[in-house]
Amino acid sequence: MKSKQESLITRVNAPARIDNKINAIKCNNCGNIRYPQRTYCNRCQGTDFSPILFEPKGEVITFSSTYKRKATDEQRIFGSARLYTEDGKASIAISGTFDVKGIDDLKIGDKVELVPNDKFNIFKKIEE
Amino acid sequence: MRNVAVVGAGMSPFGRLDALMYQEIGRPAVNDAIENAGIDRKMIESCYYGTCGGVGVGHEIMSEAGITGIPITRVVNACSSGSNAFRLAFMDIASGMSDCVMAMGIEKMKNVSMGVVGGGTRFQIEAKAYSYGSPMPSGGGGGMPAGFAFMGRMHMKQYGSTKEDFANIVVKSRRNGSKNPKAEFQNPMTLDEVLDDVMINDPLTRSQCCPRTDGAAAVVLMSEDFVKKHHIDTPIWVKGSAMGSNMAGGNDRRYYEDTGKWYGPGIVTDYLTTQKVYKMAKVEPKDFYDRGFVECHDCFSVSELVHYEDFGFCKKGEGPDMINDGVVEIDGDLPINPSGGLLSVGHPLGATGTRQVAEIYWQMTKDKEVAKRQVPDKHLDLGLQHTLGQPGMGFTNVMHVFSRDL
Repeated sequence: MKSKQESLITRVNAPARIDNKINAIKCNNCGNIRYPQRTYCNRCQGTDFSPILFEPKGEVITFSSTYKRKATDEQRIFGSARLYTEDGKASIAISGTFDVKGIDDLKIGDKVELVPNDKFNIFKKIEE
Repeated sequence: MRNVAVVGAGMSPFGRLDALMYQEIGRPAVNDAIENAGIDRKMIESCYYGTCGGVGVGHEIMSEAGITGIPITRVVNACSSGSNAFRLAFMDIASGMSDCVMAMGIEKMKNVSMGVVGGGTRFQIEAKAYSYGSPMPSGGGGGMPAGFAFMGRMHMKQYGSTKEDFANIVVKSRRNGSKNPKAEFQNPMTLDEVLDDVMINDPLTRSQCCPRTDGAAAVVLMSEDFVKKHHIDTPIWVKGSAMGSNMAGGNDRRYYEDTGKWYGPGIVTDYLTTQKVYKMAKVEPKDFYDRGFVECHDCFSVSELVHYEDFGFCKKGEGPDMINDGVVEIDGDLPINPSGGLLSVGHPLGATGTRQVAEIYWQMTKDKEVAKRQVPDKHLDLGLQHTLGQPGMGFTNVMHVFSRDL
């Protein structure tokens, strides 16, 4: 029998990615997409979901540089990329860092791909 | 609903006030507001005070100001705490519960951890990092400047705005702030100085981000009956009050469902709340060009620019024209932030909303407080006040319209 605390936990113990694809869920009642996965839909409060995977390739939505406390600090470029389902019908915005040298090496709309990683979202540019 | 007026305002200097206790900052603001209103402090029947970090300080401040035994309510809503407190004070009187109410805001931020005044829970950080499953970005897991830096970059891409456009907002702000003896920053800055400043989150340099500031501001509100009974000469009437919120990232699912598209770059709750407050006050954006001015939430240079568009003062993408053509200067067609705004006056989270109301009151009554930055008379018929808070996962904003006429 679940404890009082356990019965209120809404986090789902699911892998963040499957085959490097974003492992989200889609509400079977209203179609809302939830990521990270939870036990309820935050739109209709439904609890019936189907899995939905987003491909690791997408494009840059926006980005910026991190704050440098010291001139010697390494600066990172971070922001959001839009990823799509295989059929292209649904998309999701995922935040992460971009594996580029500097702010001038990235543009909105650049094609990027999620690097396989268990902990962090790191995007590499896809050179065309 | 009864008519409500602002009848007095007071404000402490804003800046680094390390040596002062909350009571030493807040009590003078309260006393100045009471003196400015010309009333007996015993007339105040309740108080709402906005503060994120100052637990219980409103009670202490009012007690030290000789006002006890009244309902005192702390309001916490991030950067909208002070204006939320004002809105509750307005509703207290409008509903008929009280006739004379004080709205106050106070914050000490210079030597207080941001974790006290506005940290992030795991859920909030997660929601910001993953945009709640929507296809539009949120704060990216970064801090406050990052979210607006992201918005600025999208604006540059979509509409061709430039880093110089955003930096010119600061040049204007500092010019106005130099005429405000209570502002934290009173030194003008050139465009090059703003652009060459320390980079925070590209394209936002340090001077394009409002400072964490100590300060307090208080205003007195009264019912129409009380105004007449006590012969108040210069009431400024609250014609509209509205509040809204949206999910992380400046977007909202409900807007998407209603229109079929995500809002942006911009802040959807600003757009939607503006419609509500305009409707209540029976005004349109063009009325502010004819006879009004604005105090809005310029937490970052990008935010002020998108406010021009979200409030309907120009089309999406035309915000740069408003700053570059001088439209929003004190002597322009639509004065915006004559006080210097958050970028120059500073941003003590709980006090900013009441500080903006104080500025509007002083401008409309031509108080000596604003002598050096007085908005021309033709623009004093209407005032728009706006704050935008981020209490966790989304935005919450509060807006009011004021008028000299009942």
